[in-house]
Amino acid sequence: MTYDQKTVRTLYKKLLALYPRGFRERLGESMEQTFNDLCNERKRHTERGWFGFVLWMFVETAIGIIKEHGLLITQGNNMGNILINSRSAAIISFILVLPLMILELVNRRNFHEGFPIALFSLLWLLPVAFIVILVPMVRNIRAGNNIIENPFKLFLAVVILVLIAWMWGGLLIDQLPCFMGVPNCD
Amino acid sequence: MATTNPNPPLTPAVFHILLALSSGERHGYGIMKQVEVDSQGKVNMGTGTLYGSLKRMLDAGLVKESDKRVDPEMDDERRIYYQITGVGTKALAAELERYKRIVTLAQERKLLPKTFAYDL
Repeated sequence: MTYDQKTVRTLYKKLLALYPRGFRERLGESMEQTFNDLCNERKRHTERGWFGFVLWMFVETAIGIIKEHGLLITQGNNMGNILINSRSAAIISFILVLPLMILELVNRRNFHEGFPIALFSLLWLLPVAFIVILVPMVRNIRAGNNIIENPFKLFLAVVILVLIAWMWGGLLIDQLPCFMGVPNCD
Repeated sequence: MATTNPNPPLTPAVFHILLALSSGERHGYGIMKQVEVDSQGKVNMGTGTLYGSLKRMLDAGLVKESDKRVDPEMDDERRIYYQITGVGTKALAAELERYKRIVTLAQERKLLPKTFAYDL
């Protein structure tokens, strides 16, 4: 199977666009260059293992993106900057849901069904809400603040977090056979 | 009273990057290749780990960007080279000292295979 290098490089560039802006502006171009160097090296030496290499690079970079956004929203530099936090939460959530979307597209391509936009919107929105609720709590703990100051607020936040996690896990378990391509699943 | 360690232990990625830069300035791909050589192919660093670590190292002053262009074969005007700083050299020395103490301890407790123990 031949994988078009140009497409892979374009996709990698698009993936790099998901890094936080500061990181992207400082190191994005270097990362792209290094990825191109690695691709060239692979092509020079061997065609074997190309898919594995590309998959590893994409997964490793996606983990890096999640980590950088995680650091951005937990380190408090953007305290109060809800817009940046929500954007980071949206990107982290998108990266979480992306493998499921790929599974859906690949495994159900022959079933002639519409893409379940509502399901994926929910799968994406729930982690966004989870992160947005969790981050202020993590920040308070890191800053050494007493988070039990308002026990009712804390209790409510924990209940909502548990509910969101339960709903997301339940949805995932329920829909996993569909993502894996099982026929007649709902 | 707790005191702050001026040279806290380094992560494996940061350690390998500093080790790679200790022998000269390198760009990202050059660092990856040097890490591969230094670790005899056992450490394979991806771009996410490399640049994530580099960013934190730049912020901490362990490395800095260099103006030099030392790889004419691969050179590109935009290619950024990195060099180890004085702080980075000290952090690397402190980490190697920690490793040395662990190896000495392992020798004392006869935990090392004989072939290694005689070499040290």
